[in-house]
Amino acid sequence: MTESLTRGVPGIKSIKDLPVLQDAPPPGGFPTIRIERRLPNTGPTGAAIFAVTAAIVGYGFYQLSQQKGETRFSADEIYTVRQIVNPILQAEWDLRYLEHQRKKKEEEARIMKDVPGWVPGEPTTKHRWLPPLESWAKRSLI
Amino acid sequence: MIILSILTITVPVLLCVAFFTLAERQIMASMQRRFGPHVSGLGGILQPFWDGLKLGVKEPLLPSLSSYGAFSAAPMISFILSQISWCGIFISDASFQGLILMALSSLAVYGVMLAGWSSNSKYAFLGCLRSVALMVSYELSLGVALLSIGLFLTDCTGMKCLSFYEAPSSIQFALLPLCHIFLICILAETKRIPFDLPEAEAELVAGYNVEYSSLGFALFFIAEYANMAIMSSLASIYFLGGFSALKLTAIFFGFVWTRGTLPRYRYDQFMRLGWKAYLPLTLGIFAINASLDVFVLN
Repeated sequence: MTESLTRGVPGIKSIKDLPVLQDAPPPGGFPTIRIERRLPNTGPTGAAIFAVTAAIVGYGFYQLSQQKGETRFSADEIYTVRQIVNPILQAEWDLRYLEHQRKKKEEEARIMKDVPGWVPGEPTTKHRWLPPLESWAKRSLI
Repeated sequence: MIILSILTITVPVLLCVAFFTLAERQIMASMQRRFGPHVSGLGGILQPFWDGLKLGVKEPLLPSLSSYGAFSAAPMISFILSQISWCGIFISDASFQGLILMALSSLAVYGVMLAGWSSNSKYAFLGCLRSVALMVSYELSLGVALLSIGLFLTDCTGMKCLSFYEAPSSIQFALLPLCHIFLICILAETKRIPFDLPEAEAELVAGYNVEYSSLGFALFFIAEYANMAIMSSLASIYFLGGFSALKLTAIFFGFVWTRGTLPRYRYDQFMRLGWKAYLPLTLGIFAINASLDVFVLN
């Protein structure tokens, strides 16, 4: 009944009068579908890709060599400056060190002035034997 | 102050991970001609936060036959190592930053191993063994690639160092084949497609994190994406001339593009690739670069 109402063919009395509907291919058939593989054989060859990569890598190494030259120049500059400046810096440090040692010795002499037989600056382990580890522990800490 | 410095690293990384997950889903959806997350927030921008909330309110399961300590510790180890790696990039100014990151990625293997072993499940254990084998195999090629890169990283005095601040800008041309190998090795290190057999096993009820739920799973998830971001930043530092958000995003897009395009490697296929293809290749490239460095550039 609903078919006759929806399809609305005038004059039909029962569903058997409806035209036959079959799910069939369209007239002339479906278009053909390609199922075989057709992988393209175009594009660069392996040799071409290798050559391009080698060219890019070569260019990169050329750029790297230029940059290394700059790095070497700046490294040479730094080392040269250190060679010139280091003796001066070491001399300054040595002066400060000697001054510190002198003050330490004076302070020790002031503190230990009432101790008989005390020589300022002498190592405290001179008159007794200690195993190496303990004498290392009793070293002066600078 | 320490807490502030920790938060300065952790909060942006977590935000980055959250939006990376959203970006991945949207990109995959675009590639597959369907909708990604578009319901929560404008364009699905709140999706990661609701996902995190969902994972947080789930019931945490602790299998009774599992080893409780290791089971609980494994996701924490993975998460902590992924965060420390970010500190290794941004906070440390040592001359051996590359070595620090290699060491941390080697330690990350333990998180996976503990997870699979402590679950006391055959499938989790097999998945963890495969993950560990995968990560260790491709770490070798990664380390040898780092050696080749380290040949050209020098500080101002010409001393070799693996610091990230001294990378010359032309290294991406000189090491172009190594760049490709590096990108593939970091795909394998982060267990992304096409090297995600250990993770894909989770779809088939297997994999090292099959017994995890709620925050344990969330920590593994965050650690995976944070590792992806770290490896992308390494690649951009070494090969793209420095770290920037745009380069990181471009490499991440490459990760997702690969995921949407390629099928998965089988276990024997990626082991063959790691040991019989990439390791000899990287060793050969290192030998050539070392010879060039000694005889040509100096």
